[in-house]
Amino acid sequence: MSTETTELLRDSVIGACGELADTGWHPQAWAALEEIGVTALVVPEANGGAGATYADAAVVLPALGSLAASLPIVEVGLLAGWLMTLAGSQLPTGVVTAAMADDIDVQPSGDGWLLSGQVPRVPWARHADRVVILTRLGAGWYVLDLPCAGLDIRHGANVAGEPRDSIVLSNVVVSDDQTHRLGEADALGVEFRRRGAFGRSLMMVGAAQSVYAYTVRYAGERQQFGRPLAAMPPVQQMLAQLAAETSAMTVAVEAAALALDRDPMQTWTLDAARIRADTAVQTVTAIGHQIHGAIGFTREHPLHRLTARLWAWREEYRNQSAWADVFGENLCQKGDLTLWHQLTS
Amino acid sequence: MRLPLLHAGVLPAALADLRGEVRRFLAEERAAGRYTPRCDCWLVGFDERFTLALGRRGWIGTTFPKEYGGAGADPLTRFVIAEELLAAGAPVAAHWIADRQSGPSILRFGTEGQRHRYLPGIASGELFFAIGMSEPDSGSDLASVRTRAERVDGGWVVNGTKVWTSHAHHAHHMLTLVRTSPLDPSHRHAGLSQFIIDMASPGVSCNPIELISGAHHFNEVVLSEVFVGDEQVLGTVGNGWTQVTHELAYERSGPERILSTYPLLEAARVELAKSQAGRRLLARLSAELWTLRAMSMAVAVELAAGHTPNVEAATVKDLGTQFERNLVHAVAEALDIEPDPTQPGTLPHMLAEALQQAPGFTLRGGTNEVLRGVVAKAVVA
Repeated sequence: MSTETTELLRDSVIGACGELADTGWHPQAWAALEEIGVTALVVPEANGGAGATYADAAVVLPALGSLAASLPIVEVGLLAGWLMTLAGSQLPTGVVTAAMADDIDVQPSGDGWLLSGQVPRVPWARHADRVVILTRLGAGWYVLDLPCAGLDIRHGANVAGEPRDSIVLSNVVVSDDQTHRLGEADALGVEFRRRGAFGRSLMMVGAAQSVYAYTVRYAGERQQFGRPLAAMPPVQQMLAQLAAETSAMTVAVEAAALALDRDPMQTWTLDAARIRADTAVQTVTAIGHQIHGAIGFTREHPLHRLTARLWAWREEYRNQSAWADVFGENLCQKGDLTLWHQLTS
Repeated sequence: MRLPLLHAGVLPAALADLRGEVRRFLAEERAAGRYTPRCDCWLVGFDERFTLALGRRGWIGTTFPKEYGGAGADPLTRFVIAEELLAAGAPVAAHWIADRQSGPSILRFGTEGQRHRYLPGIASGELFFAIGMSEPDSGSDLASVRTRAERVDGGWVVNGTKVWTSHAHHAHHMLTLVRTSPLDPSHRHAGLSQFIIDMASPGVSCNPIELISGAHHFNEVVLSEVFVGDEQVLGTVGNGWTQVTHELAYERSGPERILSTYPLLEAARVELAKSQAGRRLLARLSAELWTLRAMSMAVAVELAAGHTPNVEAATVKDLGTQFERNLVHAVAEALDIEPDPTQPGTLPHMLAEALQQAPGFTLRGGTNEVLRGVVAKAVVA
């Protein structure tokens, strides 16, 4: 899945971002990415997106992850855009984030509704223009499309310092046209998290590729005992393992993206890719830090921007244990097919 | 900086029909009781009848041109056949080496006469090969082989000992790495050649080396004053290292580096499905297998496109063979049953055989540590 076209796309994303500061928010990069039309990549054109493939997303999101870009790219493209498309509506413009809320109380009020409750850990809520919320009211799923201005937003963060804020709704008035009913399928909630988890996996692949690149460079430059670290057999073994884990997670997420483009029902591949990407995080970050030594353990060195994101992203939208439960159930339901037949379908 | 990194590839959709055909054949053979799935079937599953049946269907030597008895198919066709046979735990050991590496080497480096002499028999499932590389003092360090050949009229006289030679006692020929010039310490890879040694030649003796299980797959092959005619030299005298390196590329990234213990997972799945911990393990091992298969496929696609992803192949072998081994221990832990090597066809037997075979996975085809050295050198280059 590496061609001249994918290289061009990757280069244009990296070029658009330029130098990114070590902060929890990169607004200039957001503007530049909107300019080249990659913020809502897989959203159909009719719904305000670029109508691109998951294979394209598997180029753009890793590129952003490799830069430790701090942007709600997964939320806008894979979640908000998807929800608004299901609702038959348009993805709002501006910085859009997305979240799922399990318990929001809704009361009718005039021509609209009064919302109360809490939406926890909303990515970049404090910087967003709008938030698209998937919530369950009674038996039905609803999408709420709210402006962020005026909302009660309480700051929180992930271990990489990226905003994960709580939105506290107390009698917030929404109109009928901000509320879309999606139906009753239980699977919608799982699907939301699955897409979020896959989006994070794509970002993780990019971050891991950067850890790999930093670590190889450092091992070649840093001299100890009169020779570069990379000349030492134990370090060589670690570099090979780092290369292997990075390749494994890269191939896993790319294979899932290709499978989804071929057949949208192949969503189990996203779960398998998430499990594999999560598994790689421990080895990738451990080797990256071990080879960098004390300097990589400091705030000053950029390594932590990548490794901390790997730790944070691994746990967001449910981690590999939760997805192993989902995937395991799925594999057992199709007991008449061998595992091999299922995994090669 | 451009670092070695594997990207996903896709098999041509047209191969789905062939996959279905292989699956139907395997289901019939199994239903008729003509084979029982085993772990490490490409080493322990020696069955001449089964190999002949595959040969009749054109599923051995598939990539050889038609004039040499093959189907002229591309390497991805062979990939599909190979992975289906391995996933089914089918007895493929008789032809595995010839189909995977000896045949392709003869096709690439052999003379027209050699191609006509050996390839049709390989493709029909009648001619078996052994790999004559390792020696008592040469394992991963292949350039140190001491088996030597002296020039004589019309050919060479070979003396030396090869070890760990799988199925040499069944093989008709052994593709053998020999030293044709004395070792030059500053050019260790020079002076090596490859001979196609007929196992029926005077001076060839074959002694069993039992594995942990007591099974006889390995051999010591002693070559004592064995005459090898010039027409049995493969490729160019002195070019053995290049040829053998090429042979190793076939060896490393194939599905036999990830699927050797899959039959155990399939056999254990009903038991594993009974608990949440078991289902979670099933999911994790399946995710790993799915990823490794995508990696192996990615290398196969690269190879088929004429590229030489040797570093990536080494990576697949490293991760894949660790998976083959780790699967055995993870399943053992989850099943909580006692392995028993005396009851063929049962789960305890399958577990016992997998445990006993597992140490070999990360050794054969170059130890994982040596392969990591290969990867690291490419990474920091």
